[in-house]
Amino acid sequence: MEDFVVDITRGNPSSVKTILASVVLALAVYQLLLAAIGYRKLPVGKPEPAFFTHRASGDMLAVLIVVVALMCLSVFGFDGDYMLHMVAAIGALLVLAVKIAVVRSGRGGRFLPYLGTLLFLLLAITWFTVAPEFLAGEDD
Amino acid sequence: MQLIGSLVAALAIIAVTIAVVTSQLGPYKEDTEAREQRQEQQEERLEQQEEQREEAEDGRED
Repeated sequence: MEDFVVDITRGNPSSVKTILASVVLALAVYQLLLAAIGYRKLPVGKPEPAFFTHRASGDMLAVLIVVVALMCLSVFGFDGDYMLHMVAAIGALLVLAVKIAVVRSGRGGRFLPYLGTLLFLLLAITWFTVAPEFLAGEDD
Repeated sequence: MQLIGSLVAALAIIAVTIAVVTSQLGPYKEDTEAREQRQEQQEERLEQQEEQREEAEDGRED
């Protein structure tokens, strides 16, 4: 698996992973804004197109999150130096799984805003515990 | 249909990211950098050992 990730990223797995994780965080902010419009917390636009876009963008985001997690695990494994990063990432994946299950089952919809907010916070923690250090060139 | 579109968009983002990173860094740059770093560290260690040896020899001569 590690060789596959290194080959597919053309030998730059850390850089590709960090950029993809940054894209994930940017999309997560976009998701938060779309949800806020959908739930009428932001007085702009209409809820229906906001929710449709939230769902479509969310599917894409789920794929990216899983890809980044697989890349990270296959190249770096479980590293004790990044405990908070690991815990937040595992938590994000669990919350994502629960959120998808709730959306697919059509039940428990009232929990979705809380699950979404929690997912955003966990993604933010996951990003902030590694990416800034790498982007600053301190963790090559 | 929407799910397929989202999947294609995700794959496109991954492909573009790999292309951009490779064009900026060059292929296998991280490997090369890591190797260079290891080499530098090894050279530094050798220099330090040599200095220590020279200091020890000077001490003995005095």
